[in-house]
Amino acid sequence: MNILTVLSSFVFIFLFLFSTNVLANGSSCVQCHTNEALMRSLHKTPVITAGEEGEG
Amino acid sequence: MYKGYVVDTALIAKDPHFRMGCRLCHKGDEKGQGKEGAHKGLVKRPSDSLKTCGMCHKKIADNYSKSLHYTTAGQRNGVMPRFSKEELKTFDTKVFEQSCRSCHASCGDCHVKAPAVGGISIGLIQKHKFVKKDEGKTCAFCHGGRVYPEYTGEYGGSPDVHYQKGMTCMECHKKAEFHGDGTAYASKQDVKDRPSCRNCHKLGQEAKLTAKISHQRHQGKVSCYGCHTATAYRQCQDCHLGKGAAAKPALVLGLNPRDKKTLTTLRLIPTVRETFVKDGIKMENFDALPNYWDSPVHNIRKRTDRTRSCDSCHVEKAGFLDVDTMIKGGSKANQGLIMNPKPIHR
Repeated sequence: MNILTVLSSFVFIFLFLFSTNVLANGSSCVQCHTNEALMRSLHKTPVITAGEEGEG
Repeated sequence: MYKGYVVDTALIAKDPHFRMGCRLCHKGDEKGQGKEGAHKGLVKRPSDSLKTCGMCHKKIADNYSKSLHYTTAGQRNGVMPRFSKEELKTFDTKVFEQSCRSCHASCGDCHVKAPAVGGISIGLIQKHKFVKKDEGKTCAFCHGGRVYPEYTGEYGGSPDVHYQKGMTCMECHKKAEFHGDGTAYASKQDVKDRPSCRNCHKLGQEAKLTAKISHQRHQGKVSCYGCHTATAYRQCQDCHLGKGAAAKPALVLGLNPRDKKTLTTLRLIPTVRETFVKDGIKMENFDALPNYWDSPVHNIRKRTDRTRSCDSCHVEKAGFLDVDTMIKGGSKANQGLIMNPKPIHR
């Protein structure tokens, strides 16, 4: 394996990880779910059903 | 709680779980407009399918597919002897998958997001961090009706001495119990390396002579819980009947249904004759099993009424199951759990 192949492999891996991380950070999922104020405004308080507790 | 939906930004940068983006596990539509659009096709609990975690954690996911937390086989096998062959078929198709199996724990229930009980969940355990363990937010939710509040003393009385010493669930219950060891066990009784008091407290190493003698005298006749359960614990009644649970505290001592030679702590099983009537199951063999089952009560103290005085059992018979204290209209097999302690000749 020549040095060019090794180098290009590293570059590919770096670009892959970088791009996927950017995708994760840049998604609409992340934009909303890291915004505490927005989550608070969207949250609906669940209705508590009586008499149900963990069983074990 | 809204905080249960908030993800830590810092985690996204450093945790490899986030490298491939949210959609890898949660699906949904990142380009969708608003909450409704973005959540279209959303998978709320990706680890309900073991293939999700199994993409990277194959060995663990394979083992977990056979573990009791996932299969909930213990619930099925525990009630099975009450059914005729036909009733078992009905149970398997109408009840088990829809009801019992819906309580199985996914990987995420312990490692990402606390499970919902009664429709309530605290949400993400640590802002979507993949935590190794956080028993107070995971174990305590599913096992929060009896085990956990008895352990912490929240149910009443004193906390378990092990809890007071700072021990949490996984000090005794090992990882293989949760993840499974690759064997599909029928019941927790069969699981290898279950917790045992004697793993730490060796017989013959007692500091006091009275304790040494008591242990020798009762060895093979009384379980550790029989004497060292501190106080009354939760006995659930009338569950699974669609009108909620009724629970009362009580100490119940009787013969172990699995080993009729040993006295131990018994707990009322909430399955009554009418439990599955609405599903067309009368339980033709209801009396094959008792209404009480041996229970490792998580409420251990070194000194209890029974360790302080022999009279508690041998004269007063405090807590001993008898015809008067037994539940009314229960299984005929309950009679076989009654034990009369022998009087002491002084």
